[in-house]
Amino acid sequence: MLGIQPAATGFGEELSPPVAAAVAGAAGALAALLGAARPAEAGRA
Amino acid sequence: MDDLGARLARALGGRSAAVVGVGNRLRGDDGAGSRLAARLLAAGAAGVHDAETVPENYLGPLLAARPGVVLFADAADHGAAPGSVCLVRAGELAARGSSTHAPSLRLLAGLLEAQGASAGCWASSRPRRGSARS
Repeated sequence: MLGIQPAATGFGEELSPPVAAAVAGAAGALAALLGAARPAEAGRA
Repeated sequence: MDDLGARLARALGGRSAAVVGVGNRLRGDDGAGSRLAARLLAAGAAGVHDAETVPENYLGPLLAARPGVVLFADAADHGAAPGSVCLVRAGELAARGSSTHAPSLRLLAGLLEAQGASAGCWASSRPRRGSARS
């Protein structure tokens, strides 16, 4: 249900900067809704 | 609450929720859903599964937990700028073209909805081998 537009999906690549930012933003929003600590407080996954 | 937070709040509708992160972390942005789930787990969120490339393996735990809504998170080629986030219902998958994870997510969503859970899901894009969208 939650889709993030990828920039590059080549083997061995890291997350691209815009997708990494989207992951962080979505994680923060979901953490707030699910009642978890904000991911930034819990450390980077 | 920001726009994404508001959209998610509307989608979840106050129901109990399970989050399933899907994707291959070895393939760059394809791993976005898996990494999102990992961040939520690190934050102590309940009902979160980092399914990586095998979301079908989580059908049993999802059925046992009986959440009100299941939110699949995955990389998805929806023709927007990189990093754009979309929210769609499972039924929209068929109209969105082919994708690497769509068949298993559609099947999972159908099974979950047959059991009473509202399953929204999205499918990963096909690999864009090192090419960034302009």
